[in-house]
Amino acid sequence: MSVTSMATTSPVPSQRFSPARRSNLYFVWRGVLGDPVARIAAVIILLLVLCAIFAPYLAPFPPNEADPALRLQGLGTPGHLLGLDHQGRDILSRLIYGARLTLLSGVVPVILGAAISIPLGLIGAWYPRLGEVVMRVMDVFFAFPMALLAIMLAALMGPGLGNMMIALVVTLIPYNTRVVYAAASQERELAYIEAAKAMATSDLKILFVEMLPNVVAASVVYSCTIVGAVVITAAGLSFLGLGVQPPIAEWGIMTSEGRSYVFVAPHIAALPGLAITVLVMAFNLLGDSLRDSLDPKTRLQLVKHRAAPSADDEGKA
Amino acid sequence: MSAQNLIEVRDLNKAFTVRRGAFFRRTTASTKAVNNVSLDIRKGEILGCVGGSGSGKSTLGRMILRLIEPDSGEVRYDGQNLGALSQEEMRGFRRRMQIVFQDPLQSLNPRRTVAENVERPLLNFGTPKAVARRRVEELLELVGLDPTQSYRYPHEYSGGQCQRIAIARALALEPEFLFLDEPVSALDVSIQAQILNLLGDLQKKLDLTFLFVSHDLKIVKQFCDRTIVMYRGNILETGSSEAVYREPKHPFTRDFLGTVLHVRGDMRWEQAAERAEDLEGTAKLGGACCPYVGNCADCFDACRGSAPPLIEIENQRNVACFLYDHR
Repeated sequence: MSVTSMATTSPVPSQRFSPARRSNLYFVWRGVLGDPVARIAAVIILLLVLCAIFAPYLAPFPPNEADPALRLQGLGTPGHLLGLDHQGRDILSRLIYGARLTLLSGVVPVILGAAISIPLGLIGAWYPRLGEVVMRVMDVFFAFPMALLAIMLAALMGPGLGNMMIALVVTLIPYNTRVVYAAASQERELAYIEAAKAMATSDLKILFVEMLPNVVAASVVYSCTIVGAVVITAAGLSFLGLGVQPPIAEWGIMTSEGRSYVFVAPHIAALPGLAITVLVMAFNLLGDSLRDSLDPKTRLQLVKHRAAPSADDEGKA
Repeated sequence: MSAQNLIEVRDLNKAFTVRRGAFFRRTTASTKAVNNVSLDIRKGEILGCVGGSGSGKSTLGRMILRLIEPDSGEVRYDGQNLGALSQEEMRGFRRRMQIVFQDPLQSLNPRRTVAENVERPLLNFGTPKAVARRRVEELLELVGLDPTQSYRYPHEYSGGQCQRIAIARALALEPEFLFLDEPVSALDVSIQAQILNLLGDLQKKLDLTFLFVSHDLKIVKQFCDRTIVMYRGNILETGSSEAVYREPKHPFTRDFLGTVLHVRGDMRWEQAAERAEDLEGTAKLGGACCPYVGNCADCFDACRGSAPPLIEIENQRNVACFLYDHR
């Protein structure tokens, strides 16, 4: 299916303008489904989201119901598949309920942070003066370790889930902005941007129609990798009493609560820790796959390579 | 001068300064990219512009399109001083002049399909989407590509095909002037001919005016009506392409022809390469003197004292060299 090099091969009626034009979404879908690793990652994330939504129906016990008689019982205790914690609460139930707040505090700040960082980085790269101001302000934020900054902000605003999420968003903005700014500064120098200027494209369109698709992949991949760090930071804030308050089930809190019993009943800390690890890995792997399927250079090969022969022309005629 | 001038450039200057920092600005270096350049581009002609790298040819073309703002001097397009126009008024002129770049792949947005790349200028000027799509098909056929493949992405095409796409995009707004910034330099020799033929055909068919920048004198001689020779931001020689090629007047043009042409056999390749490096390599001399004085075999006292003006030595032949200045 090579592209003809010289004059058109046959007169083609104009209705058949774009027989196989497909949306980005199609390629993301095909790319993720076609890649076994990404498929597993997507399934894990989907399961976690389902757990979070249907927690009351899935969990065998209410998350805070304690049975002090069975404190610290290990895996496989009858009726409690994953054992019980130091207060005698069912760990499986708490993990299922915990998915709610963990996803909320780990994923939502990353999405909100990216939504603010992408325009900020693009505009900063386009208007050098403004960009200089923006990036120097970001540098001030960089001077503090991520956890420390989040603690400071959360402490200023007071405890609570909402305030913690705001603190995390603010903490994340400098990192993602830097990624977008670097990518956009590179794109800015390329000839297609100059061509866009020569054809009187407005600044806004250059940034958000021409440049955005070329920098968004970097930000998506970065966002996926940072989910893990955010989940852990959120857990740290909760541990310090600045985020979600303890009786509520959240993986980070569960891990830190289990800390004191790590020699007596290691599963209390290990299971939520394992859950965080799985969540983080799932996002990392999905991020890799998204990068490949967002890039027109790699995604076609991905789809072609995996699809059955002649899948190329299956689209509407 | 029989034909009408489409573009008149008068005393154009541009110096690039290397600055550091946005607030604590300090100039660390300054290069004169274009120095007092004046030239006319006539309606319907192909004007060639040759010179080594860093001779200011690309900067000159970009200033004509107002992609770079000149330090001083003016560009008159069809009698209108472009520098005096507001951004909004400039938009109208953008339809009339377009650019084709050296690196064809880089000049197309890699994340947009070929159709999206070519229709962008049309959409910018308010063409309805459906009309733009049909026009894209026409344009792709015009440059010899298959419009049914326009849903593909630029990287799926070869360099020559990408250059055709870039040409189609440049022609979308039906401009009368194209600035061709080394349009074939990045292509294989076999493809170069195809693209040059295409450009030549389009020029006749659509009655276009070209400013064709190249470092290859041979191509300029075949392709262009007139040629200007640039060196370090200065025009050293102008004339019909044939005349500049057959009997170069300025010592630089002669040396430059030497580097490009007399390469036969292994030994000569090396010599030519060395010579070419010599032409660019010497440190810039300060003060008022001929820009080529550092390398010129024929230089004498006058050359060190002041820069020679560009004077007409015979019909439509201008040279900036004291060897021909018999005043």
